[in-house]
Amino acid sequence: MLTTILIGFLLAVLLPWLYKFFKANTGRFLAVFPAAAFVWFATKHNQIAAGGIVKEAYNWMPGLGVSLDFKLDGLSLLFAFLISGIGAIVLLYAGTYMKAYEKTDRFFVALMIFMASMLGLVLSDNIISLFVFWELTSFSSYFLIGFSHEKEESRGAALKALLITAGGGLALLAGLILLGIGGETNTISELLMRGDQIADSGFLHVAMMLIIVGCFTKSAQFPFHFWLPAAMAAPTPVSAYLHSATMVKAGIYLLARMSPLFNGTGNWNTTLLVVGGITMLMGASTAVIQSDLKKILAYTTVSALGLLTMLLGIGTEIAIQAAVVFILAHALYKGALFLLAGIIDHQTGTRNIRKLGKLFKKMPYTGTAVIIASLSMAGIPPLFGFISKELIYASTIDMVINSPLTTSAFFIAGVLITAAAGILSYKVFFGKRNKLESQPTEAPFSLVAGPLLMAVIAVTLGISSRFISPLLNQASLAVMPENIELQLSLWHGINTELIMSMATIFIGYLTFLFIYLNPKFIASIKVSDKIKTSSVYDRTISTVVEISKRVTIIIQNGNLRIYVFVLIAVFSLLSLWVLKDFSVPSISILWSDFRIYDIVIGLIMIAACFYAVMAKSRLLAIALLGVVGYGVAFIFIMFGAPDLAITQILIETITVVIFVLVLWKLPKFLIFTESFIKFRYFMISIVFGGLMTWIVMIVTQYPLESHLKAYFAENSYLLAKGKNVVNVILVDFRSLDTLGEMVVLGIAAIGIYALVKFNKTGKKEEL
Amino acid sequence: MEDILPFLIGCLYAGGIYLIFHRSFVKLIIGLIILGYASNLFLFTISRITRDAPPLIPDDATQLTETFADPLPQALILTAIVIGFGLQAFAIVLIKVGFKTLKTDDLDKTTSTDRLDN
Amino acid sequence: MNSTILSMGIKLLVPLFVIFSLFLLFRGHNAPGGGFVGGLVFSIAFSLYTLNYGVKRTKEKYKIRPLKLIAWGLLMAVLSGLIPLFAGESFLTGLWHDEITIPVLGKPGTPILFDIGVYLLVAGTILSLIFTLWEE
Repeated sequence: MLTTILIGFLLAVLLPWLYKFFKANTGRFLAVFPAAAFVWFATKHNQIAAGGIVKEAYNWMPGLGVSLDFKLDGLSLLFAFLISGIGAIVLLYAGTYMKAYEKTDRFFVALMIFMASMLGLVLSDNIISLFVFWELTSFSSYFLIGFSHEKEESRGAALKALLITAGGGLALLAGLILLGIGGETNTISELLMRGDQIADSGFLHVAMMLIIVGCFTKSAQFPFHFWLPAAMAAPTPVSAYLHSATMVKAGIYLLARMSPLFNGTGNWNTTLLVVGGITMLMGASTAVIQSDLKKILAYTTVSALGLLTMLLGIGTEIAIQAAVVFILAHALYKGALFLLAGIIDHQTGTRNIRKLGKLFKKMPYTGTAVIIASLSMAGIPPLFGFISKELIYASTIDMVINSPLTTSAFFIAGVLITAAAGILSYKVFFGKRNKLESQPTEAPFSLVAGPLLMAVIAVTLGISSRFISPLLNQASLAVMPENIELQLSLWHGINTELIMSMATIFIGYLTFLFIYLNPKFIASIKVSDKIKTSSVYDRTISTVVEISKRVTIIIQNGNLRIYVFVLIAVFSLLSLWVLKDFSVPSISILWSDFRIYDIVIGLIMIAACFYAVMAKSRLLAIALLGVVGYGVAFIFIMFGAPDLAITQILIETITVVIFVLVLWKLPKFLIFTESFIKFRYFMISIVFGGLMTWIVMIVTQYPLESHLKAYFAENSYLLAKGKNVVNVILVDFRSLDTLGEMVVLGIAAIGIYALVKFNKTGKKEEL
Repeated sequence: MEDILPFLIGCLYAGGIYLIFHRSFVKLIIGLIILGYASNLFLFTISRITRDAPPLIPDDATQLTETFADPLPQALILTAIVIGFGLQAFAIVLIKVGFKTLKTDDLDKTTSTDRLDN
Repeated sequence: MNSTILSMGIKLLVPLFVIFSLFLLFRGHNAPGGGFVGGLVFSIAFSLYTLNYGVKRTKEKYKIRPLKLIAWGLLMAVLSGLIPLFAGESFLTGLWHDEITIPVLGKPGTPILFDIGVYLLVAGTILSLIFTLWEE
């Protein structure tokens, strides 16, 4: 499993070269990866369906309990199938669809990173690696939403999605870490079995709420839902893949994964039920009044995510099964519908349903696929969506309390979704009017093939659902270990669920007719900004920007002297506050230790420093600077630091070279005559210098106990096989620090290069 | 020397800071370099100094046993010298580019580059 | 600087400096020296050459590309950290070949690779600085 994920990341890294080689065929080539992954997962299907589990474990940071543990069970396999299967279809589709865009190599890089991290997310069995993959999906989603970065709308939408999901990600991280502390393990499968221990630690409820926040932001639950419709600024393949079939379900996945731990405790069920319910109804009712095809789909997706949350909140056996089945059904029809909406946009040039109509004769294949997918969305037999809808009704009718309320919520949402399905299929393909300027033609096969295939799968699974039953059964067992066996079938006899389903379809049809026949009335409905949560977000963002602007104007006034002064003043006051408790150290010169050249060196350096400060000529100042530098090197030699001395001398030499190269081109010293101000700064400097002297004297009065000194002396040769202890520390004991410092140096060099080379001409020469 | 070092460090700090307070670019650079010396010596001194005993393990031994200078601050200062140099070089170039762009040597007149205009 | 003696002297000094810098680099684990010091000596040799002959000639004669030196330096250091991963140790753990002892260097192991990385990086950083400033 690690190999699969790593190949995905590797492809992303190699993509610039692959793109040069494959050019327009890149999408088709890349599709081989998810297709191969799909086949690999398929080989594990029988084992998992029989109740087996595939595990892999690799050490990452064992000292911190972070490892790359992977576990493939029913739930993971279901998601892995969706990610790799739909991934292959989307890549094939994107290969053709993205031809209209420029710089598609970047698009594929982000998409591959997403695909690999999404697989990592659903396969991870360690909370930290899960979190890393989780954040990687947010991060790649940011780049994909903002792909058309020259558009203000895209940038805003990308930032919105990133702030919301990454903000939720922080809450999630806190929650996961609390779980890890409470359960004393970072392995998810073990955490799930340590519910009592976590409850005893007192972290269970806090962790639960934090994880819920993280999942809600990711899965676009109310009040965080607004990023999802905005994210429709992304190219359509992204909307189909990330924002309907996979990424937005990551929150649902994690909620489901954590269900065995939280289901039945505290506010878990109520929170999920209420928030999911609000999201579902809000999404469904907003969907039917939209005019943009993708917005309709986005809001129905929000609604579907709300429904899933609600089902997990109900938390009964049937509800969990319904959730698992609905995840599959929804991914199939919604992914297909998004891709088809992209085709319609691609062929007609618009996504506005008021302009679309009578398309079926011109685009028969697209039309067929849309109709099948919409029928599945409306839950009409014999499609897979129908089976899923039956189960959903079964789960609400089965509820002990609040059954009528929940059932009616599902009913209303179902009616509205059915109406939305009618708009998508009938209005667009058989609607009477068509305000298009050009005559659209059928899309190329490479675009239609994927969604048609998904539609066919929706039919196949509907008719012969027993093929998929074992896997879905295992998936629901992963969410609820002591669940009853899941058995799907199209026909359960005439019961309440069937009647409810039929009523939904009928009333949904009436609703559709009403919307279809009164387009003006629907267009006149405006949602007031006051009740939109997105306006809260907009206000918050603009306030934050405004505040930081004001603060910046105050503290960053552009005057270097004031910066330095503030720094020194604050530092001095703080140190004085600490130092006031110490007495002034006595100066006692040990005549036994007195060496005349010490004094001479010291005095020479002090004098050189003084004259360097006072010098009127640049050359003199630089020469005196050299005297101070060599003096420092001499001190290093005297006190047992030969490495430092050599380094210092070499640096002095290079500094001279630099001065030769640079400083003579700079102007002469300016003489400023504000002697009062000069005196003031002189006094500040004297005070600061005195303070530093004082600090050194006080510190050196006390003995220093250094365990590290002894450790390095003892182990330098025995452990690290080096006799120069300083070098051993640099390249072995503390080599990670040195690596960081190397990076700093490299950045400084590149910064200098950029400063000089890109300053005026823009012409660059190879260095 | 141990008695003189604190005063030397104090002088270097005072001189460096005083130069940074000046309005001239070149003095700012010299000030930064002196400040670098001061900080390295400061680190060196407060981690206690030992005369004539470099932390080198003799050929015939496998451990350091007698008095020896603390190697850890030395390792820190060694990288600090090099990195300090890198950053000083960056500052020099930045100031030089600033000088060419703004055509002034007076730091008080270059406030516009670091201020939010609003 | 048009002194013939200086020009000739620098020409002769460059190879000596380079050899000396390598010596400093390899003895660094057991005696004063190491990657930082070696890299500085290396870059001083070419800095002097550049001061006398200019960047163009230095680049032509010695084929030095400072930014590439930086990249190689970082790569070497990271590689020396990655090698232990294959031996099941964590990142940047030192590994040695215990049986051999090489004169000057001592026991060969991954830390010397790291030190070579430091050497290349320091040399590259300083040379890129000198070259950039010269061309200005």
